[in-house]
Amino acid sequence: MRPFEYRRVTTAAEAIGLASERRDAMYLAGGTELVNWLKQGIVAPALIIDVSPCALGGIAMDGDTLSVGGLASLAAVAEHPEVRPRVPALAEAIEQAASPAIRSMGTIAGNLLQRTRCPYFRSAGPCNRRDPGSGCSAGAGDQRAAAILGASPGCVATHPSDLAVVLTVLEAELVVHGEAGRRSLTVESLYPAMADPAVEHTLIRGELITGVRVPLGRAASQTRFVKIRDRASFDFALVAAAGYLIVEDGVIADARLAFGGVAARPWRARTAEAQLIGRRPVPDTVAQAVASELAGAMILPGARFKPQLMVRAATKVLL
Amino acid sequence: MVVRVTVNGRAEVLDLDARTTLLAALRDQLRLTGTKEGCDRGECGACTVLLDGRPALACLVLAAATDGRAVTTIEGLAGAGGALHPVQQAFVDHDALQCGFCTPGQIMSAVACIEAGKASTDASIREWMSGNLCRCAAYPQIRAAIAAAADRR
Repeated sequence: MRPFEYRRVTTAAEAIGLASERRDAMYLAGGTELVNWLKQGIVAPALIIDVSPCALGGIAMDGDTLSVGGLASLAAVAEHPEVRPRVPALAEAIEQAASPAIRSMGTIAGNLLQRTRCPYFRSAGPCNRRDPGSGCSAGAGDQRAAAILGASPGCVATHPSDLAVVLTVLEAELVVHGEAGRRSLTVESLYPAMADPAVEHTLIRGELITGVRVPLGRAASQTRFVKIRDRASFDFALVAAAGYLIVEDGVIADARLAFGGVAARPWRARTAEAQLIGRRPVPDTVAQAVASELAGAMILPGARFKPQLMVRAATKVLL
Repeated sequence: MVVRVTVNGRAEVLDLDARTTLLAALRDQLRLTGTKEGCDRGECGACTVLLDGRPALACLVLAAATDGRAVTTIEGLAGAGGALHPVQQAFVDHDALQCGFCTPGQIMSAVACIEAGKASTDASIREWMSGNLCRCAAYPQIRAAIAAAADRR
């Protein structure tokens, strides 16, 4: 680990003030990502701003919105007595994320800001995401984790957050505070539209995610989540899916669907959604809709199993 | 920098480099070597401790970030006169270890598992303990020990 200055702050304003003065600063919350990257030299900030003492961990049902502080731990959200009954997919996605210790340490905001990575990100070999311009080891290596949608030529890594997939379908909003004040953005727009190994997120330097707002509508109560992975627990998704259907008079009247494990971002399957509307809710409909989403897919040989897995995951959450 | 942290009920004042992990502070400064360093990257669970009562991986916590907080390690579980904690006793009774290296982390996670009410079924214990690897593969005995300790509670 390279030497750094460590500062603790107790308010978001203090954190933002410090970060805006220093271009070489990084925020620390749960530490489950950042401490590893520090140890491996993947990041080397001169200043660590520990925001964990800030009072940003609240969880509240606020009329038709679930409000979660950016520093709420994953465990606290999943265990909250009103979260599971009202937003079951959120609790389920969190419970399938990492291990209990990591869920106790990791925060909601930190989970969304995990680095996009594949197994080569932490290896000694070339990796454009860790070391821009060095090359991509996945091209001729293990491609099981590779993205198949929207990947850039230089990187096929996927975003690891299950939570982001669920929040994308729920059309949740992030509240961020920065030098210019407060703004909000959708979870979807936290991630670059076009995959670029040099760009992890769309936040402006110094901005801090202070909260997540989840609308408590039909989507919240009906969305289902499924995660398919190599190990039964404590593993990233090969494919994850979240979604729901509204069926009226035997045909699909509304649909939302998003995937994890297939792109450098949570992938909202808007083409598939459009294909589902007006059709009968049967497996063939879902398979055809997912196939239409995959029209522009670029699939490395080692990831050829993913389309079929996406169809199965989508069928599970939608039907 | 100076960090004030409560470890196993004792107030400690540590003078350390900001880069020091909680794991290194426990083992090298406080000489509490019960907490083990396995992978040192948050994947094996050997360094599991309780931080304010919740399970945490000491290798991924900067010691500086524990200022004002309470840490419990395996050394802090035993009762007066060295009487084993019920989970420690259950591990002995069920032969829930072979080499023992992962055992302190397993026991800390097990204590948290029972405390969280997640020890009611085998599947739930299995999921809760999935962050603690045992290369001797004592998993069946570990699950049995946890179930027995939860029953006795």
